[in-house]
This record gives sequence, structure tokens and C-alpha cells, in this order.
Amino acid sequence: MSQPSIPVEFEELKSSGDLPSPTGVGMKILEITRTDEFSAEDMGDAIMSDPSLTGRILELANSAERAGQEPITTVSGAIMRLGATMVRSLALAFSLVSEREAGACRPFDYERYWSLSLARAVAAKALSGEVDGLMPEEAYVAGLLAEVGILALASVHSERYGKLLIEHQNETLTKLRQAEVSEFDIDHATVSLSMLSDWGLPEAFATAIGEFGRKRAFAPSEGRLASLADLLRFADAIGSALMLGEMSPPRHVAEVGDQLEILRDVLELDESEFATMCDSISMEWRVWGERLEIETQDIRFSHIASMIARGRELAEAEVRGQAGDHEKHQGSSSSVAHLETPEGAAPKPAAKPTAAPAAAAAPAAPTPPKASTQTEDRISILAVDDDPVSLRVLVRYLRKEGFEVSMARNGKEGLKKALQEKPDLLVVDHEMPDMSGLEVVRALRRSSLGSSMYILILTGNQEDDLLIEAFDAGVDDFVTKPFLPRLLTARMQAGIRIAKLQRKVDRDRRTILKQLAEKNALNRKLRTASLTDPLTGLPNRRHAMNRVDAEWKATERNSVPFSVIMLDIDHFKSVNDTYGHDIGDIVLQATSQAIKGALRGEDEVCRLGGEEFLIVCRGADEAGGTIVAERVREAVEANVIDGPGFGNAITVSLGVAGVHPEVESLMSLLKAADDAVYQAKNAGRNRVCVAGAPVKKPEETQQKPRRSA
Amino acid sequence: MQDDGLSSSALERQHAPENGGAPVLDRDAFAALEELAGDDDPELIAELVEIYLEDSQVRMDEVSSGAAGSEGERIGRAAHALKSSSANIGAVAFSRVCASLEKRVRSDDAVDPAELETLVQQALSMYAEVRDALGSLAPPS
Repeated sequence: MSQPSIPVEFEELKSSGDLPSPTGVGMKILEITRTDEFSAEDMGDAIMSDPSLTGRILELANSAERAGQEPITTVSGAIMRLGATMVRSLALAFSLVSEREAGACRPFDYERYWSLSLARAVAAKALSGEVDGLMPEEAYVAGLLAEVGILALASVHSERYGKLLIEHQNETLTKLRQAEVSEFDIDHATVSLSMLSDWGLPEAFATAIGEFGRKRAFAPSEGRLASLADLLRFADAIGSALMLGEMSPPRHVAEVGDQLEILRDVLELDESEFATMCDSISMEWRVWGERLEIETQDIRFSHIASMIARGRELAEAEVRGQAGDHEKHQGSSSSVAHLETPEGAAPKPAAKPTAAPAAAAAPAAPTPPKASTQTEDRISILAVDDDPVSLRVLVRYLRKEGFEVSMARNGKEGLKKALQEKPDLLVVDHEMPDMSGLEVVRALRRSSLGSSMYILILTGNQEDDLLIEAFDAGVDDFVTKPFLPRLLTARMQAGIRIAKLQRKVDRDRRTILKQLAEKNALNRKLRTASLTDPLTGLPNRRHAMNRVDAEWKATERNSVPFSVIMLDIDHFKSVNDTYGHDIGDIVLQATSQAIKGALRGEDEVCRLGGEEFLIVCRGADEAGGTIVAERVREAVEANVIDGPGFGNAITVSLGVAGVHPEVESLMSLLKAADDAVYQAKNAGRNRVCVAGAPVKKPEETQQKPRRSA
Repeated sequence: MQDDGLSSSALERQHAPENGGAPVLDRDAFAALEELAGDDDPELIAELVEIYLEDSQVRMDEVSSGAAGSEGERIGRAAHALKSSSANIGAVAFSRVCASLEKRVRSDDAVDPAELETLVQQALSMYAEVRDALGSLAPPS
């Protein structure tokens, strides 16, 4: 169920062609490093073709404290110290940031997304020393990309995801993820994980980010910071604290405060040490914000602390205001679930107050979306020439003809701009000192972006050999210098015709891919429907039997322990008889949700029929299964169900059976669980009974588990 | 506004064959630039002249230094760039001199230092004429 392989739902998202992906140099790096045996040198060259990327990598490599080490000044130095894989990850992450633009999903606050991601990255880097064997740069990249799945869903399904974000505005992260699954068959945590695997980032990254996406809060009982996922949880709390403003909902503020307190305990810092740490993270956040052109705010820990204090008061008042109504969380670990807020996905406040409070302007100022160069019908041209006079003449000429023109003064800059701006046409001079026109053309033709660009080369002479070499390198046409305007016009017209056709082909291809993805998703929805119980949305009996069968086989093959829990709602018949079937349905639905909420990530609950459920606990022996069963029992008992004329909690009886060497077949395992439920019923209901190892005696004839409640 | 800085009589003077040979600035090339400038970019030619004067000076310095150190490729690169930009600005004759200079230093045959000196000197003196001609075109600033 939770294999690390890339799920088919992700392939569908990917085939839409709208996933955020590193472009320009980042794309080139992805291509160069597609295989395991890439050359670090080639990658270094690709990075160095982008001076700002190079600068950012060096700044990061030098900003981490490493005692007694000389500062790194070159990309190859960074590769030596950090390793090629790390430098590759950094380059990809930075190129994703630099390619960002406000997308089509209006309710999604892109600017806020990046602000929080950056704050999380900086905080993760500062805390990286707490996790053994973790490099500061790794922590930084993981922090930056930890919620990339949300960005992806917003990019691919802009409208539907926007609607979903608004609908689940103030709910927990778990709810948001459930809604994502029911709408797209995949949640953002899985998307994040799949994207990182797809880019070939180290598996440890992907796994940690997946875990972080599934559970956001760090519980006090978990002790010291042990993993990258824990680190991300704390980094996210600090990041969220830096993002706090007067507009933040009090409950969210209080939760952030709780997490900070836990963090302080874990780090064993006193108040002032902790404040110093937060302030230095805040300062570094602003420095990086300037470098990457991401919005930040100037905030001190003292201010955060006072906001938290006030947030707590307000949150408490809120709870008192609706006492008994909303406070259903009791059990030991239930407060953790409470802490999850989809803050990273925070939709923009519906109504913006006109007078922003002076102290902390909310960083969520919406930015006008950048006009996408591809959507307009205007042809864009990039002109590259090292001779300023002919460049000026050329640009003037092209602009006069109504084209959108940008220019570059040398080959390297030209290549960079071509990859970034994706012009329809490229006009490039043949002879340039740093990188010849033909070298630019060859590099472009190797990349996926440059393969469809129409390229004209400017040349001083028309020698056959030179022209043959040029066509060989991949140019579409040539123009001799100094050019005659009429001839250039004629040649440009030919190029524009091709470029327009190319555009249409690309557009059609995208449409087809999108339709294909939608069709695949629909097909799979139909398949899923045949395995789903329509009333509760849980998997049905058919799915349950497939699942236990698969688990049984896994146990036989690899002796992975597993256990099953049979569950039966107590006195369900009398609920139905007394309150009617509508209330009966509500009870089934609410109980299903309560059960689901009490499970671990790898557990699954299915509705077998009537008031009967089966929980499959992968990797848990009978003792583990018993803990799960008891948690479920408590959760159901604590869950007051509201319905017309009905306001009670109900209870359930549970029977646990785990795999023992003596259990000979799947059927006898299920029967053992079934018998245990029967015992629980007889012993007075609302309890868990455990089957235990079977007593050696001749097995009765096996039959389908049946029982009278 | 249309004809500022470039009165026909001023052009006429620059086109007078001062050395009895080809004109320093080519009338047709200039006409093409004027047409390109049109009504909505009257600054184009003044701007081109300014860009050219700045860029070509750097390139000519390269030619001189290259000649002093007998660095063929250095001269070749500079001459190539000068060939193209000079043609664009209308200095056609000078562009041709640069073309033959480029061709000569980039050919496989060894270049005789005396011959190179002659070519470079020729280029330098023509360049001075081009500068004069362009300088008197530009409106006094």
C-alpha cells in the first residue's frame, strides 16, 4: 500500500505537463544527471553558466558553520566539499525558486507559500546540527521543498484545488489531505514525495518529506529530535512563527506556541537562548529573502512571544464560548491531531482589512500574476550578438516589425536567456568570443526546450563549409551580415510561420495530454468505486478480502507481522429501530470517521457490511494490533454523534487476532478475530478482546466467518 | 524633429571623396539606417554612432596591442567585430580593410611583420577618418 515507488496517480499529474519543474539551467542539470554516472564536471559547467545560481550555492555552502574550513569559492570546490548529489539538489531547488511565478490558482497564496518555505528552510538549516549525520544544506533543501506537493496540485488543478482550499479553509491538515484524495485520488504529501523521487533527489529526502506531509506536529513523548522528518516539523513551527501576523487565527497562533515550547524543551534551551536562536533565524530568513526575491517580514522573537500569549487567550476564550460543543478531544494522544493546520496552504483571507496593523504587516500581500509569455499570440524573439551596433540595429528592426524582442550581448548570456525565456525564434550571431553561435545552437538542440525553437544564424560570409557546419549544428536558416531589411523580413516570415505551427502543436499536445490524464483519472475512479462502500466512503468487503489476502501472502513470504481487528457497533439494531435508518446512517458515517482518525498511517479500515468493520494493521503483531484496537475503542466512545433527535456517543466491541505460527490459514485468522468480537460482546460490550495463540486441538471445519451479534 | 543632427548638406560633405577614393561613409547604408529609424526612433542614428565610437575604439586598441605582440588571433577577433559593426554604421570602405586584415591574420600562411604593420597602419588611418566623419555628424553635445 505504501511502497516508495511512484504511484500511478502521480504519473497522471505529471502527464498534464503542468507540474512545477526546474527550468533553464535546472532542466539542463536534470538532463545531464539523469543517470547515476553523470559527470560532476558537466554539471558544474551547467551551474556556472548561471552566475546567480552559482552565487546562491556558494553562499549557502559558506553560510553553514564548519570550523576551520576555508570558504568555498568555486562550484567544483562546493562539489568536493558537499558531494555532487548535494550540489545537484541545491541547484534544482534554487532553480525551482527562481522560476516561480504566480500561477492560475487564485485562492492559493503563492507568495506566502514561498515565504513559509524559505523560513522553514533557514530554520531547518539552523537546527541541522541536532540530527546526526545531516548536512546543513540537506536540511535547507528539504525545508524549501517540503510542501512542493501543494504547489503542484495548485498548478495542475488550479480551479478545482482552489475550490477545495476555500472549502477546507479552517480545517486540519488531515481533513485537507482526505479531501485531496477524494478529489484527485492523491494527497499533497504523496505528490511531494513522488516529485522528489522523480527528480532523483536522495530517497532519505523524499521519505522524510513524505512523513512530514502526513503528520505535522511533534508530540512531546517522542523525545529527542531523531530524524529529518522531526527536524522539518520543528523548522515548520519556527517558520510559521516567523510568518505570524495580526491576522493569524488565534488557534493557529496557540498551536505554533505549543510547538515552540516543545522544541525549546527538546533543545534544552532557556528562554533567552531560544529567543536568540529564533532572532538569528529570522535575520537569516530576511537575508535569503533578499537574495531569492521572496517576501519576508522583520519580526523579533519578543514580538512573536507576545502574539502567542495573546493568541492563547483568544483561543481559550473561543473554546469556552463553545464549551461542550466542540471539545471532543480527550484520549492521550488526541491533542496531536488538533495541532495540524494546513497553514502552508493557507488560503488568502477573503476580505482584506484596509488598515493593516502597524506592528506586523501580514506577509500575504497578493502579487499580480505575471503575464505568461506563452499565452499571448505575440511572437517573441531573442537576438544574440556581441557586436553592439548590429545588435541595436537588429533589435530596432525586429521591434519595428512588432515582435517582442529581448537581447543578449554574448553567447553564454544568450544560452541562458534562451532557456529562461523560451522565445519562439532565436537570432544568433555566428562568431562571438566566449561561446560561438554554433555552440549555443548545439547546446539548445540538446535540451528539450531548445529542440523546437526556430533558430536563425547571422553570418559574415557564405562559405559552403561554414553553412554546412551550421545546418549540421541545428540551425534552421541563416542571414548574412550586414543584413538587408527586406531579405531579413522574408526569412523571418518563414521562421514565424514555423514557430506558430510549433506553438499550435505544443498547445494541442498539452490539451491531449490533459484530456488523457482526466480520462485515466475517471477510469480509475470507476474502478475505485467498485471497491468502495458508498455510504461511508470506506473500502468495501471486496477490497478488504483482497487486502487481507495480500497481507497474508506477504506474511508467508517475508514473515512481516500483521494483525486484523474485527469491529462491531454495539446495539446498532436498537439505534436503527429507535431513531430510524437516517440516524443509523449518520452513526455509521460518524463512526467510520472516528475509527479512521484513530489509525496509524499504514492501517486500513473497511466496512464489511451492516455494522461490521475490519481493520488491517500491517507490520503490527497481536500486541500492536491490541493497542490500535484500544485507541479505536476510546476514540469512538469519545465521539459524540450529532443528528436530529440524537446526541449520544456509541460504543464498539473489538476482536484482535494476530499472525501466530499456529494460525494455519487466513480464514482461521479471520475466524479467530470474529470469535474474539463475540467474546467482547458477551463480556458486556465496549471492550477489546484478543484471540491469542490458538489452543492445539483439531480444527473445526472451516467456513466463512459468520456470527450473530 | 525628423531631420535633426543629420542635414543632407552635412552628409553631402562627409561623402566627398577626400582621398580621391571611396567615400568614408556610404550613402546607401546610411539611407537604410534612416529608413529604419523612421519617425518614431529619431535618436537611433545618434545612438548607433555613440555605441560604435565607443565599441570600435576598444577593438582598435585590441588591434594595436595585438600587432605589437604579434598575436594573430587577437587581431583577427577584433578585426572581425570591426568588419561587421563598421558595415552596419555605413563605414563600408573601412569594413573592407578590416575584412582583409582579418583574412590575412587568420590565413594559414605566416604573416610577415612588415606586411602586418602596413595593414594595421592602413586600418588605423582609415579609422581616424571614420571617427572624424562620424564625429562631425553627431550634433554637438
